[in-house]
Amino acid sequence: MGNDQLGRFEELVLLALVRLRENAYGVTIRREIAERTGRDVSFGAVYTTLERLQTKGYVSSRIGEPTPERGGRAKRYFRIEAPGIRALNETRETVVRMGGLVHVG
Amino acid sequence: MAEHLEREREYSIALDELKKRTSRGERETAMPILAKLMAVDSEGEALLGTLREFSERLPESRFGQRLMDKEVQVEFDKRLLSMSKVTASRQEALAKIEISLNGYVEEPRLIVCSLVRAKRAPPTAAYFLLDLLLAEADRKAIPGDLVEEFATSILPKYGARGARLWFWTQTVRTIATRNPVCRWLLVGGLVRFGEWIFRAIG
Repeated sequence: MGNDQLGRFEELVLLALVRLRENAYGVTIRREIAERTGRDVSFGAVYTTLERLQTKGYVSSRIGEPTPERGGRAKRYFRIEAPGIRALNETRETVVRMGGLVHVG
Repeated sequence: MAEHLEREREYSIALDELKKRTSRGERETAMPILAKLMAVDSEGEALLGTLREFSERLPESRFGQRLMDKEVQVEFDKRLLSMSKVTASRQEALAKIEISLNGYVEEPRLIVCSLVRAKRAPPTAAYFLLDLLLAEADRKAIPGDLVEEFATSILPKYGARGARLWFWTQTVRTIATRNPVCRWLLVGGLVRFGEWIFRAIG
């Protein structure tokens, strides 16, 4: 096992990227997290985490075409990369080893 | 506040119904809805009064349509612009209307709808702040994400005023997170105050 342990929010963002596949950009990532966890997260928090994950090489991004319904701004699409998938699996395996999938108490 | 939200919801439902009926060409049945719509928005009511006054002076062309000559059009624009509460967003709507005024005009009252609807856009000052305080890379995507979420999800849920407040809250939170100087200045009080207000009206 390496040292690629993810923080809780990093894990949520990477799981959102896995679920969203090719349609992962700011709005859909934030919505996915909010709907599934009930947490109201800001775009700033999402982008800060994505930027950190990108620096680590876990995700990559590309800029889409600008659209009028977004005030002429482009979408920034994100994609999970192989090191990101590996880190996600390692983190989840750690949780399993610690009995994290069993209800405590 | 709850009363205001109820009015905004009422407004939104009436506006949707009006759009449906006018797209089906049912202008006469749309009129009572329009009256209801105008009663919700006092500024809209004032604008409607101005338009009624002008529409009476216009020559009838055919049912439901009136022709505006250039002179009346110019005077009409002047009157609208001189009204006390014509905001920047409404002036944008006026620019769009000017294009439609070059030919036959649909019911003048429908023009009022686009003016009233114009205030249902994201706050321009917040948008300007995002442009000013975000880094180049963030400027390409984050304001667009906020605008998209505002229009597709927040506006139908909370109404115009609630959605604009949401936009401001998100703007402050985003700038506080993404701009190091602002983060240092704003972390704490201001962000929590915005969240508290948003929850209080939600």
